[in-house]
Amino acid sequence: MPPHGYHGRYLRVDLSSGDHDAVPIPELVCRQFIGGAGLGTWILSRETDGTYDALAEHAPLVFCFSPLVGSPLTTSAKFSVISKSPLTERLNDSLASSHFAIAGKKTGFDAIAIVGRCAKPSLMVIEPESVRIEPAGALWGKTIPETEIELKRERFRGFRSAVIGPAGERLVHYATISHDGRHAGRGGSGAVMGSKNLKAVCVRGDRVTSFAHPDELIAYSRDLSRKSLGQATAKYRELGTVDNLVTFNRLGTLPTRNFQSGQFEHADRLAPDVLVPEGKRSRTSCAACTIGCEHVFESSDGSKVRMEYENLFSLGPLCGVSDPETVLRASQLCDELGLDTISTGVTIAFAMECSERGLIADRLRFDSGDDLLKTIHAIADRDGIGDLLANGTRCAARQIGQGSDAFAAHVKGLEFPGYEPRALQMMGLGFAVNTRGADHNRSGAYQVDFSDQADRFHACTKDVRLAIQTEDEAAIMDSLILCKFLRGVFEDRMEAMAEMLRLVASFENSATTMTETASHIVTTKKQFNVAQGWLPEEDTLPDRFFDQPLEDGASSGAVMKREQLADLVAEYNRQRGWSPDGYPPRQTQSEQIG
Amino acid sequence: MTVRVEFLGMPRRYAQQDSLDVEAATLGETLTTVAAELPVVAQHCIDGQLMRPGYLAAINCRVFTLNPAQKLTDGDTVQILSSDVGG
Repeated sequence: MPPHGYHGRYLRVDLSSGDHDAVPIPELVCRQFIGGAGLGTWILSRETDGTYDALAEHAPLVFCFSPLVGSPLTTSAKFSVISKSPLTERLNDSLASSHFAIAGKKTGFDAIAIVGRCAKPSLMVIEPESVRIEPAGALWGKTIPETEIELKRERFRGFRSAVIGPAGERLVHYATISHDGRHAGRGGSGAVMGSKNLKAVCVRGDRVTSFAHPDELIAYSRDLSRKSLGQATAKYRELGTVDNLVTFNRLGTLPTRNFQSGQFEHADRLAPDVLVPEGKRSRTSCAACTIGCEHVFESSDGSKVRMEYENLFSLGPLCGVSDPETVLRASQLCDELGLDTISTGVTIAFAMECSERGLIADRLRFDSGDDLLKTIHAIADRDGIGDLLANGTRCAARQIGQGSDAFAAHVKGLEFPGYEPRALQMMGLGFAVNTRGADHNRSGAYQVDFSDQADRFHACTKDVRLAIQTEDEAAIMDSLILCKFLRGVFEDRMEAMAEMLRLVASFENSATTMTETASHIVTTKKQFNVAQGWLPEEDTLPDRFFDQPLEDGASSGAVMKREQLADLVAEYNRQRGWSPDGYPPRQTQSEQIG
Repeated sequence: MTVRVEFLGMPRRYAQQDSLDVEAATLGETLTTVAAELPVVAQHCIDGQLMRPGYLAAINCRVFTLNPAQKLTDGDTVQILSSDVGG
């Protein structure tokens, strides 16, 4: 019998042969990797052997659920997508929410691992007793909203679908997988799906898992839902993350014009209360969520656009664009075409700086909304300059050369989110060491910078443990696949997550053992990267952040020193139990299990 | 001495204004004065001379602190903001 909360198996589908089978997941694996990003990492490691191309036929794409999916715990309706990233050539896990997670788990599997490649553009339809591959037909080439509307018609009534847009079909390295307008956005899992000629994965089922302590779980869930409506989540509910723009600008941490500045002179034009007129903003939420953080903005043509801080920063200040309608349209375009908004904005901002410096022939100007919109289309179409930019900032810098890598804002190929690392230096460490690359969701070290526990302008080794703590918490949250906006609700996050796991799966844990599990997951991710050719010199930041102090705004003068970051990285590696240059021990329990 | 208190994020929503000038020599005095002037801000963000859980102060946008004894000088700015900046 599998543990409560689990089916104890994953579905493995080979698109090349059409074969599929159920692969058992040992209970020890459930205990050590939980679900989501953790379990997905185990499956990916199990399904691969040595270095491979992220878009190769045999490259696995894993959709992974968690023991909490289907429970009454708020924000638990989430799924994780795990693969090797075409953008970074390292492990990538990206999360998305809502009914696909619930329906996917009801197929009777804890995860779906897809290998092989369809001969023609196809859909994969999964139910408990069947796996079918059907022609995608006219859906191939459609945008994400068009595809989702079609898949909600008669033939697929009752199914939930994860789909790619034109960007995924054309293998843009930062293409997304979308469900119900939400995106597993970072790292290019949409390109991996596109490389398999797979337009959509449609799931439906009736298989439910049991819970270890159902009455207690219901009581706990009620209490958690009540707390989730309190002060700790007020910001997300009332303002949305878009409000960060104003705060970050005031603190001098708002990346502007490809990280040339930490302050945008027109930020007030993009403030949430200015972005659209009163009454043109509404709120929605994912399935099984009580927070309701999604703020939907209505543009002048009546289109409704989900806006978050990250798409606002990357398609606005980072490109110097201050026209609200243009930023809304750019964000909408990315959603429709299936492009990660962060990587899109950062890559275009990089190209704009290259153009200004005369390093490329194409004329792309900062502050030009027209250039921004035109380039988004070109990327999704892989047309002209868009083809160069479709493989991300790192690839573009390699081709452009002429020293452009110094201001190509990525780590390991993953473009920076909207946090200025010179002025948020623990976050800078988090970007450098994270297995996924420059990312604020797998390392939440900005929480340390925005606290009274550390000096955000002078990160030092004694504070590294705090950065690791945020990474560990993220590893567990991403394996349970809980929304990080719940963070502030818990007095002791690890204790709370241990309790949820006890109520659902009957796994007995303490905060200490949860931290050990987190460390184990992070190390397993690192081992995957090492197997894919990771080298210590990847754990750093672009030259700009060492060579150019911020010149204006509240963070004026901030800069990272090379030796300082090297010390931080070495301390991070030491505390992780890895070699000084970052290699984890060769043999761990995960390998023994695998 | 005069310090300018700036409200960011949720505190700004509660205050219904961007800033408030107050006479104070420490962060604690500043918070007490803000609480007296804007009770709705106190209700959510300030408890006596302290920030309530989930809120944080910054001095001149550079130093984050919860210390009510933090000294201020004339012309300083104090930012009051949610501690979950980011996300």
